[in-house]
Amino acid sequence: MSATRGRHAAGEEGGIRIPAFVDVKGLSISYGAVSAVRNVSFRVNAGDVYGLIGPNGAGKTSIVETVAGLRSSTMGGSINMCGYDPCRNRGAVSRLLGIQLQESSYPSGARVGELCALYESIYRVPGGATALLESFGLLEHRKSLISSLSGGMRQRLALVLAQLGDVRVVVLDELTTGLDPEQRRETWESVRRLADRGVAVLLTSHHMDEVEALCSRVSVLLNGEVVAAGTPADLIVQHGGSTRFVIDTRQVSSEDVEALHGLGLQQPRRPHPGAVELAGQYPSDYRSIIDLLRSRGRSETAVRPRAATLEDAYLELVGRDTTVKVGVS
Amino acid sequence: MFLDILRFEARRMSRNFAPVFFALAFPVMLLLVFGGIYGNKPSAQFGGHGVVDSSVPAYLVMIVSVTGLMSFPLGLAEYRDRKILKRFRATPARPSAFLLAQALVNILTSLVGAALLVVVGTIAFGLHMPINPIRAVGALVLATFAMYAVGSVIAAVAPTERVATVLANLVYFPMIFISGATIPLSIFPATMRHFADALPATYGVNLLQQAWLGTATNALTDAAVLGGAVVVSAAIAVRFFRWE
Repeated sequence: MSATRGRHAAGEEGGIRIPAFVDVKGLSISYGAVSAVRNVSFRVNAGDVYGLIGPNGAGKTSIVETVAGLRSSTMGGSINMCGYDPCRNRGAVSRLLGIQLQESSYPSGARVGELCALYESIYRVPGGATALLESFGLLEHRKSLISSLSGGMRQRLALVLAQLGDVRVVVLDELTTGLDPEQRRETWESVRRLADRGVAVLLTSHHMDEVEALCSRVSVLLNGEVVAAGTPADLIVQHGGSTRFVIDTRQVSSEDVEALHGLGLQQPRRPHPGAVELAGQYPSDYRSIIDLLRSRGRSETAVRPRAATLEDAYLELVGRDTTVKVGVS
Repeated sequence: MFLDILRFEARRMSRNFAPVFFALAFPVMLLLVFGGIYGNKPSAQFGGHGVVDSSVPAYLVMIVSVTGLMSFPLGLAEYRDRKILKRFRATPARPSAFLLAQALVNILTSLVGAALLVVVGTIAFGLHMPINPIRAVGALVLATFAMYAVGSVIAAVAPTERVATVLANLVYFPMIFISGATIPLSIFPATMRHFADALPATYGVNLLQQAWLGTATNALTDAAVLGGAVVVSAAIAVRFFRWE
């Protein structure tokens, strides 16, 4: 791995605030003979929420844990976190970095307040957790055993611990996995508040609605490589295709579906189960579908137009047989 | 910072039923039961010593076995398997500080258990103090190191918390039931004593009983076996231990 300077030009010691950023250039990670990540580059600035998305095994966790200095696998490329190389300056990086690890648990038998007090001691911020616990609605649970908290509360506690001290970068690895919709939205608010404070947030997620709601930029990973990168809106425009027309197969016959295919509209790679999807222009193609269904004695309620989403773009990208590099940042 | 880690681990330990019960309450309960039945009068059945005088040094080895072979390795396995150690590695704290704190808290629990046992034995049954207190302390320290070193091997080689639990049980129960730590070796048949000879705890019991009661044993051999167990186990543990 190329040497990053011990201190970046933008950051100064002696009490001057170090700007938050993560700059990853040409990162490659391998485990023995297995190449897990190849030539990945991205940058997360202060106040940004950057998303890494991709199927299981795409390399997301390898990247975020390497960025956090937790992996020492064979690497190529460079990582610059607030002026430090996480592999060479782990001590300095650990003070600037907060992290929530995928599938990481809490010590058994610990109370919320005790764990917070421990982190306050580790990060040398006596009493620093109180305001955070209050803002995350956990202050009244300070004396509760962590094992008695709900899944949402535990994730919020992970966020509290991840930002204790003077952290400039927060890494969140599948933060909302296993949470119900209400808890997920509460957690999103917490992430937004983090970014509003100027913290650079790097997150991985399998929830495209979450990524669309939170991230200013996204990299899509497949087999360890970035196959597309940009804003969620860019990715939707470039890869999501045009308007989707969802045909309810309970209201139409297989002959009707065959006739609809005869219109020559594009079929997305991964249609919803129990429905047929066609992609085309609104309103012209929508009008053609309605006309065809009416001519076959079907109700126009059998078709519903919807805008393409990040999930459509994602499925199109990761469903490809060959990787296509588009706008890698 | 280390004192805060120690305090954190001590609070967790206070809520961990199994080691607290088996290190603090169980040996005292055994002593009260057998002391209540036999008293502490010298008996030929126990080599001319009272049951309580004979049992206390043996139970001390049981206490350090509970924390060294069960609580300590299972605590480490929990931290590694549930990625808690990995999470702490991302902080400015050294993860080794948590391992050290866990070891110290377990040893402290053993000390409290030992003190409780001696106090109850003295008050309830007139327990006699060791004839050679310094050697008794030395023997207990050596037995403690041996049990913790073997416990470290369990933590090091077990790939998961579940496997660690199985291994700890497989090692712990023979260690306390066949070594004389719970049941006197004098009532064992010859075949069982051969099994006992293969367990480090047997030599800990021998050494402690010799220092406490003056019973006959080859102290040098006992100390050498315990020392060897410490060195070999520590080497294996260091070789195979993984942070994650």
